[in-house]
Amino acid sequence: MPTWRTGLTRPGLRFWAVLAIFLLAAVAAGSVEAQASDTLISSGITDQDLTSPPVTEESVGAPKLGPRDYPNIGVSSRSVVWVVAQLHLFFAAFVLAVPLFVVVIEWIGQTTHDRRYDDMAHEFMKISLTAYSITALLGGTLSFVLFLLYPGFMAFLMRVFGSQVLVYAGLFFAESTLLYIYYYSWRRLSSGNGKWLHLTLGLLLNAVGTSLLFIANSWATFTMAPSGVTEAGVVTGGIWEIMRGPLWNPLNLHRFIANIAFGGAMVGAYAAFKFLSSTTKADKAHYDWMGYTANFIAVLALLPLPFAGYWLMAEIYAYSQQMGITAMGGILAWLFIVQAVLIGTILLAANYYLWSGMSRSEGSKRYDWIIKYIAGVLVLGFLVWVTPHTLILSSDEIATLGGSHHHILGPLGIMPAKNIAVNLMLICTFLSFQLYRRSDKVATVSWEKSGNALMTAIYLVAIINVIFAGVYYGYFTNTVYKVGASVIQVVSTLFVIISGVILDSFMYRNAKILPSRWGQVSERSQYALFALPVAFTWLMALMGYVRSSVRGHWHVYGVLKDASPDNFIPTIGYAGNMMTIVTVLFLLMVLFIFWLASLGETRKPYVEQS
Amino acid sequence: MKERRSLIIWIVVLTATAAVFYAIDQAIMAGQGLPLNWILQPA
Repeated sequence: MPTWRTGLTRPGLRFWAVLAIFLLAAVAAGSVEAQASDTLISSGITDQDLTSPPVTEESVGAPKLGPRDYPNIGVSSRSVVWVVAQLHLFFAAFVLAVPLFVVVIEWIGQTTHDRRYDDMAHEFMKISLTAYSITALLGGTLSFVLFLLYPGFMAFLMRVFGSQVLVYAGLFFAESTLLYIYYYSWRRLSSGNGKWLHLTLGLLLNAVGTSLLFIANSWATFTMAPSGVTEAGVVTGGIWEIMRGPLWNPLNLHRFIANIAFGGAMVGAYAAFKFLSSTTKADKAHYDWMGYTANFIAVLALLPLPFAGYWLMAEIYAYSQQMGITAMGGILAWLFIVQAVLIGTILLAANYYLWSGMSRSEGSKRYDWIIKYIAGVLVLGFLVWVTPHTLILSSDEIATLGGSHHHILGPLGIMPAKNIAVNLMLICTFLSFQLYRRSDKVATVSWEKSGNALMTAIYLVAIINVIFAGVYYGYFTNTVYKVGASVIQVVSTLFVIISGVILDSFMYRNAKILPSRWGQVSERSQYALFALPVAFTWLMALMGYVRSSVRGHWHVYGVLKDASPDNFIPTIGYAGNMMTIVTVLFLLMVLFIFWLASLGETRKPYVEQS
Repeated sequence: MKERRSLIIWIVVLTATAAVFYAIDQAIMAGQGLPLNWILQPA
């Protein structure tokens, strides 16, 4: 075989050869273009002359689509896109979220020199790595499906966003490269400066991942509240104006936090799965601790999530009152009741896990008495939240009820009552969380009593404030004050959470740590860890559907009309079935990933000494 | 005696906390424009 042939088969040389060909091709293309341009200029022909016919508003605006612009493949195009898009979003949320907290866990391991954190972070990444390829496959499928079934809509979006989609593609390459380097260099860059380099890679990975999320969000929010275009769809602004619509940042914040909560819940389920299937004490201890950390992440991200959702909804109302009313006062309003059931399930499951987990330490006996009160508030809050306002009733039922609303329960159906319920449930969940964190510690600071007195005062005043603001401004003053009062409630809840975290960080500095029996938690508590991701997944399918369908019969609200056979908001039952199908499909795929992650396992679990 | 002193301190702390919350409430309701402009004056 000639020498040059063998040379080219070597990977390094092959790479340089391919690169050289690309560079030569690029230089040649540039030279041809420049020559063509020179020829045109010398012959007196300008670019303007070449663009014919002249540019009019119709030719660059949104197309007017008709039923024939949508290919018929024999099944509902909307349902196909629904399933693929939702599955892609679930996986994308998971793979973008996991590296966010993995870097933090790795950093904790590096600063505390506790090897357990590093091992756990690595194991979390292993789960997300398999999910990453599925995300990419689903993303590719979604693009094909959209271009096939909604070509007019996609052509318009491509014209509006232009080369921004190439930036997205470039970032996707960067994300893949960084992800694989970050995962596979874990052992090689495990000490000294190498570890800091590895952490930097993790930071870069997250910067790229978050940029991907924000770009994809701009497509979704453009279809709901378009900016940078006229009503006819003519692009008037630059890409920045198009991206920076009124809903972009609220959705960015909401999805960023929700992804972390969702990712935490998913890895929590993995830990529960491994805990229940483990046979040795060491394995059980390891996965119990992993489940505890995952739940910690999920609950911490869950607590501020309703406020981000509230901001998004406020901006939707501000952009279009009609759109807001469609979401919360029209056909979709019933889905908010289903949302209440799901969030109630999440809060009950998360609290139950915290209470079960407290029993790992003898120190938890100090707080046993309060749990029944927390449970009482959670159940009452849940009942208020699921109370509907407007019922669909027959004339007989209205006569029996004495009106269209129940005379006692009717007032519980409106927002002020629900705001009180939600905020009290969140305060109680934080209380469970705080007690859980304290259960294996004894404070050694001299001002412990004063600190506890202050914390109790904050809880008490915040609870009274939430109830007072809801009742007084919600029922006894002008409607205009209701929204302002809800801000008071949100601030009160956040005040409790932030002051609790700060106070405990000072009070439990140098605290005496009581022994924890990792691995001896009840098996029942692990089912709470399963309930969390199931409810989270369902909730994302539900509220994602609400967010998307508020556009009604528009592809791009107020700009591009939907003329497909599915240009209507489907019945609640149909939508419910679709969400359930997608949720079940996703969970089956996740089980497959867990199974894959368990193949070829070589990890030596950490053995808890205490 | 010691318990009584603790109770008094706690009441003082409670009152101070309530005062802080009251001030925040008043600031929010006085500055209605902050959140309400989004709702009442849609773009």
